[in-house]
Amino acid sequence: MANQGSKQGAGGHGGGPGDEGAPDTFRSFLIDIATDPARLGAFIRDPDSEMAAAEIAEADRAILKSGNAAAIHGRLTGQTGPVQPPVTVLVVDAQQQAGGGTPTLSVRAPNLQIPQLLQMLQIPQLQIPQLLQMMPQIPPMMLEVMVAAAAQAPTPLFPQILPQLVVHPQIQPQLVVHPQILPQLVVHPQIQPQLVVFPQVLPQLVAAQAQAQPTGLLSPLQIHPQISPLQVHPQIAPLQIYPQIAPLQIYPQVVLPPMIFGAQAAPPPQFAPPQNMPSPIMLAPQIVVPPQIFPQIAPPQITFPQIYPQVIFPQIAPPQISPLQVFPQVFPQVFPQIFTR
Amino acid sequence: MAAGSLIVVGTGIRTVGQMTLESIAWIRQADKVLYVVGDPIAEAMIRELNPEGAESLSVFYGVGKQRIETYNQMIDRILECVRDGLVTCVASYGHPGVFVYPTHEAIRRARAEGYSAKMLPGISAEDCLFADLNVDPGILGCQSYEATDFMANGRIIDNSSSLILWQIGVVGDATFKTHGYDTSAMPLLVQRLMAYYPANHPVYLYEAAVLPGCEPTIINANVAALPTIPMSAGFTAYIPPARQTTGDPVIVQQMQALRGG
Repeated sequence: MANQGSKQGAGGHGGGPGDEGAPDTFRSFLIDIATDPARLGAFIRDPDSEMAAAEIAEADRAILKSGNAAAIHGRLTGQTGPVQPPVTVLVVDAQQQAGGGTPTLSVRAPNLQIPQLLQMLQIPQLQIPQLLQMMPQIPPMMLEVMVAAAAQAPTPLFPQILPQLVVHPQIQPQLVVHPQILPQLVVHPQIQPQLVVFPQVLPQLVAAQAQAQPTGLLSPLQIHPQISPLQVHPQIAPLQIYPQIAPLQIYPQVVLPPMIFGAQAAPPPQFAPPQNMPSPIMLAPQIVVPPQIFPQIAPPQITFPQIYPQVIFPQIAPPQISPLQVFPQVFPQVFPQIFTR
Repeated sequence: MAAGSLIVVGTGIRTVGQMTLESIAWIRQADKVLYVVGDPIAEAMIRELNPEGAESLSVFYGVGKQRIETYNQMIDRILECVRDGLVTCVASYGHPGVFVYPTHEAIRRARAEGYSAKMLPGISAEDCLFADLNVDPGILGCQSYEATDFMANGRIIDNSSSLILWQIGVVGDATFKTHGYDTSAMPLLVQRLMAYYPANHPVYLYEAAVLPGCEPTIINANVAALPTIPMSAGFTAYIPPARQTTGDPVIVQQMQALRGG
């Protein structure tokens, strides 16, 4: 409703047979084709014949066929004076040349001022190659134009139309920041390191293992942490490992088992290293636990792919910590101690 | 049910060819035809179809007058005719229910007063836009806002979907003018758009053809250039998507699971 006035504001064409009082065959003809589908069909099929049959004056025929909205409007409203075309009259046409090739652009701007026309003729958006990929709904003719323009445009502007690649980490920061904003998860192993270590040195487990395995098969390299929990602690290296993960959310079992073991474990000071060391196989808790201690190795494959794999994978999984980085922190510290015994 | 009734019809954007047969029939049969149309053919047609009952509502427009005031006067006039027991037909250009506040409000009030009131669909500027720009709102979605409303109400848009801004040529101007709307707010609109689109992102300014034999006006511009383009009050801006959609594989998997796949 707001643009009602603008549609009445075009200038007139001056004179014409549409003056008041006289029958206006031109107007009547237009009304007829607007209300009679049969006549409209005949006009669409052969405008000249239909207008001739309706005895439309040559001048009116020319006006109607001109496609000039201002002239037609002025003729119908009987306005006089110079024709004032509508404000917006720039039309860009793309015509396909015979035999294919680059479509030809034609700009119709009857009364546009020069600076505006120059600006329009630049048609900057036609130089944007990303439109070809991003807007399948663009008219085919425009696509052809832009294909040609893209071939000539050396500077792609893709980053401008792919903001999601940049914004994603900002939109879902919790997926990336989690390990950084949960310091309590980092501190926890430091406060109670024995909760992690003691399961390795439970005497009843060691005793059972010692009975089940011949002593000659023991591997002191792996047993050593049981002997000296204080020396084992550095193997866990919680400061280096835990800040990179969120075990509470990913692997609750990582946190809970130590609490159970801690309650069941004997006080560390009273613990005496067993004489018979279990074999590596019998030290299964040590072998099983590391994946629980270092869940950052597994989570990207289990949890995150269900949500935003394209965002999480490259940022979390390999770069922060890898088995190659973790395990050397555990075992190399043990080896020298074993060899010196 | 009271004696009077209200029927609202649309004349389409281009009267020649876009008037429905049902709308023509109602205009012929109505006791009173109140019309707000933009082209002389439509007005002449209505007056010829119903010479006794045709009455223009455009008289309520006034230069510099708030459009809402005009709309309320139109509503009052419509209801006057209905209350007089007349079969009242209101003819509006375009779709009578798209961006036409008075028709919706008149129907609401008429029904509240016990009168029969209904609306028939017409062809809107948006329908013409989809046809002339060859875009399908079903492919990547489509958001449609009145330009001033888009700014004033802080509408949130998704730039992976199309955006249509109606009446961009009168953005920020709530009054009526025959020409030369105050578009000084256009830079603010550009600023708002640039929060979602690059400065050189294309904007298609569109105005449908109103008269027979004429072509639609389509201006290829970009966001940053909007303030420099001479605007018509009838312009509608079509802004294509700026990025690809972000898929939700979880939902896809859930839908597949529900289908048993």
